[in-house]
Amino acid sequence: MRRTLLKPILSTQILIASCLAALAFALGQPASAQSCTGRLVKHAMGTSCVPKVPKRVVVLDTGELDSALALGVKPVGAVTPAGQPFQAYLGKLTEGIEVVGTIQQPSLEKILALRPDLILTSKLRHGQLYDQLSRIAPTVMAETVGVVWKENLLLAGEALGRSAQAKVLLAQYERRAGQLRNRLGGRGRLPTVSILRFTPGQIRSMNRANYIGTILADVGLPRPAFQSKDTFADYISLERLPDLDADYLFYATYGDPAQTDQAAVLSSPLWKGLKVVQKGRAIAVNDDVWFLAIGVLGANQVLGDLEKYLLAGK
Amino acid sequence: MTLAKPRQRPAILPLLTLLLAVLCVAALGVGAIRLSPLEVLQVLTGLADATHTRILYELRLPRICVGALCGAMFAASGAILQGVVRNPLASPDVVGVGAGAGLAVVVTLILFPAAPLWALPAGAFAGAGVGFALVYLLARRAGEVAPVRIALIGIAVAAALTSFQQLILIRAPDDIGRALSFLVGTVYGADWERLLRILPWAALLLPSSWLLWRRFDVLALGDQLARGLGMRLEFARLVALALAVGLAGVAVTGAGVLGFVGLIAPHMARLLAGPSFARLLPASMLLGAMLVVGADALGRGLVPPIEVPAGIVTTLIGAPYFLWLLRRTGGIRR
Amino acid sequence: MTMTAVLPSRRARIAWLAFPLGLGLLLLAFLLSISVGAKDIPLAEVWRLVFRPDASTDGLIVQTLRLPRAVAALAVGASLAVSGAMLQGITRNPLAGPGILGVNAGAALGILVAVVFLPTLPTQAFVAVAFVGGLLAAGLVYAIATSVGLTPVRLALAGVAVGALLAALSNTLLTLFEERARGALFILAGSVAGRSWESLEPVLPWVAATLTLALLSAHFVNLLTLGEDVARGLGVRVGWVRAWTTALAVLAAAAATSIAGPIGFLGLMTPHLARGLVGADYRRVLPLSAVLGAAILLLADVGARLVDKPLETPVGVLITAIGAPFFVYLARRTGPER
Repeated sequence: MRRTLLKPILSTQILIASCLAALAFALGQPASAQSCTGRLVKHAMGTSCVPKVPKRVVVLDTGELDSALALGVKPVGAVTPAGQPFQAYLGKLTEGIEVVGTIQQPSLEKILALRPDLILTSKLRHGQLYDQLSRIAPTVMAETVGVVWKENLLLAGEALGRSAQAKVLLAQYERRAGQLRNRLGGRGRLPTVSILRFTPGQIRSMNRANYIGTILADVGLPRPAFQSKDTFADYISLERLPDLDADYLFYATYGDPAQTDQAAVLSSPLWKGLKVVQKGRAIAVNDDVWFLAIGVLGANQVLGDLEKYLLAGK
Repeated sequence: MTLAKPRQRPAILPLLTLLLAVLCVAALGVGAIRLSPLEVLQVLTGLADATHTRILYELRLPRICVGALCGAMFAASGAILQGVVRNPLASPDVVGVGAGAGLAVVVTLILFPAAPLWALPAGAFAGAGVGFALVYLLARRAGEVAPVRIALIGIAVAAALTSFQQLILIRAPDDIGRALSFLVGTVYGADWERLLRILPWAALLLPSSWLLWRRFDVLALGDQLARGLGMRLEFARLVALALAVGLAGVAVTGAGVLGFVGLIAPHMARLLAGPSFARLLPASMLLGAMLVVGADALGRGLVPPIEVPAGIVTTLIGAPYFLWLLRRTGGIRR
Repeated sequence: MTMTAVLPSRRARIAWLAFPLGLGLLLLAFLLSISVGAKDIPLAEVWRLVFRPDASTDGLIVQTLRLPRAVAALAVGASLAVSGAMLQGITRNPLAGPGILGVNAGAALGILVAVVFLPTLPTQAFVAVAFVGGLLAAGLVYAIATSVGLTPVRLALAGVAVGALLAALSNTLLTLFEERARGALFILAGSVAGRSWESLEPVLPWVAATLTLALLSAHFVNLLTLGEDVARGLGVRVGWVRAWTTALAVLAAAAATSIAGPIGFLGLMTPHLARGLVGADYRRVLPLSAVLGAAILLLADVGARLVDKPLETPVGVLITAIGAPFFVYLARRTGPER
């Protein structure tokens, strides 16, 4: 091919390519807003028009599943953490819900086939899928998960048309937390609580800015100095164990304990040297409820655990 | 293959095109909601119910198109690189493209979770470019870039970038699944918009690379011969490398770091279509497209509703095949 | 090989100095590694706690956490460096090393497979699994490189292709068996953090035996560096000698990997340093490589604890940060393909 031929061909090509680019840009523009016959809900990705009473709801994270069930709405479809069934603490509530893949990769085909009229999830988990999900059904996304679980419950309530119930649930939870505080003797006389979580490959010393941290704060329980930080968690080595001493230490394990350092920690002389361990106040708790639930049903069960252990020790 | 048979095999390209078309139609039926070929046909002729039609047109068709385009671009990139670096083991990953894009994506996803959505493909493309630029600049000595050095330095740069990636992944909180699935390559979640985002680039780069086949042929002959034929060696090499990196960079934004496609597809193509880039490039593109579309269909059909990333399937199929290929052809040295 | 022309007398003097200096550096690195961490313990205190342990918190930290970690780093560093030196001698290739030849990646994949599919396997068997994985990987790399014509560059590229394959397989296992494999993610990054006496116990005998045998076999490596023809002319049974030394080198790397996961570039870098100091005689290169490799890994591990205090950085990341530029330097010296 001679160079004389190459140039016109190349320029034609560039022309075609730029036409395609223009087309892509034009199609990428969102369609103009249509009139909404349901309710408009503002959320992390914009505003969505959801039906007045959503009947076929799909939830794409554990927190949203907890919230929907707490509000008395059984989703038609939900995801599970990879390789796990639905959280056991939800018991019979999850019967009949179709599994639509994992949190990491929900099956869009399954979701579409369920013909939902509302999808609940968060930008953190599925922001990249927003366009596709909202073509399937109106999608309401919370900004993130964890520490903002109460706001997420209110958002889910708004999307499901059950704002009032959501507020009642939160008020009940707050009242129960306050009662526990009073029964323990009120502020200033509460025991310090240390939280430890074993996940595969990591030992997490949980700080304040997470789901379990907010529950402890609602009761007013103080934390040891090392955990009194407004961050998610510190990934620690065994050397840090002495810093975790407190009046109570609650620990849980995500997934298979053999994949974590649980055994190494529990048999370490440093662990046995902790005062809280010697007093028998290092207590194993349910990971599903204390860490994965991220919803008001789970939070109430955590309060139940705290009542059981802390009041018994008084 | 030094001893490509002179016998012409003109039918191979139409045959591959036909096979790709058949594979695409078959792939349309596979997934969490399984459709028989008859049902697929019904959808295509507009006779099926709305759900099936939507699954096909909104989810599977764009996904297959993105897979095919990205596969073709990875394969073309690999074919060019193997010619320019003159090494049958070269691939987009060897020149730092995969590692650079991977690091950029991990940084975007995990260190800046609040970044806007367009940052991910843009970051991946920039990362691919930066990874390659690093390799190219480090390999340059006395104004010249020896192919051997590109390959070697690519190894070191990829190792360094990957170790940073590890560093971030280990620090990451729970949500590493998405980063991992990008690192193995997947077309999960591809829609028409993603297709339209890569289509202009593909329309520009794929034909351009084919138009330059004569230069690639000369470059593959060796430095001295190329110079003897009056070629501005450094410039031609830079253009070829830039083209290869551009192809791989765009493909990465569409499908993540798909393993082994850029390595195997050119080898298969060379076996079928001979060493001349005039036929090698289109054959590579078709085979690359088939690989990715087929791998993705398998991944969707294996354990529904879980979708095994296409990159895992291409690796599991591609790696043993590659080893067998090397054994069979003995010396693919050129 | 990468030798600078040094006058014999001067080199002899450096050689004599190299060992005491290297050992001094090693001791310093060892003590420093015990002293630095989430909680710093003064060096004088370290000395006392190592030899006269007590039940204080510091004493427990030194005895149950820092001492095994330092010993792990020592064993891993020495094994990788010796493995790299032997491989460079055997293949007569300055770019060889257990990382480049895929031995580390193969060993790590072996362990990952064991973790995922054979969860009941005792830890004693991990070295054996790692050895098989490493040997298979090295064999594969060698076979591929031979099939395309054996040059240093092709060996390295074949190693990368196989390394990519092994990494992809590891990624596959991680994605498909996320639950069971995530615990291995930290192992795969290359780290000596959190190693306990219990986890070291089954591996240390392997390390000691392999290193001893390797040092005793140094003259074999010398013979192999002469080239196959010369060695055969001297009446050496080249095939057996090569098989024996290669097996030792792979075993050393496998043992190191089963402790710390794959750590790249240490095995590549250290022998160059050792040869620069004492010349090409492997009877001196191997022991000095062991000493220097251990010292480098210990110091890097100290650095890994300081980079992002109080968080731990896997030491493999730091070694790569030093080693990759060194590899670039070596690669830039490589001329057009021979």
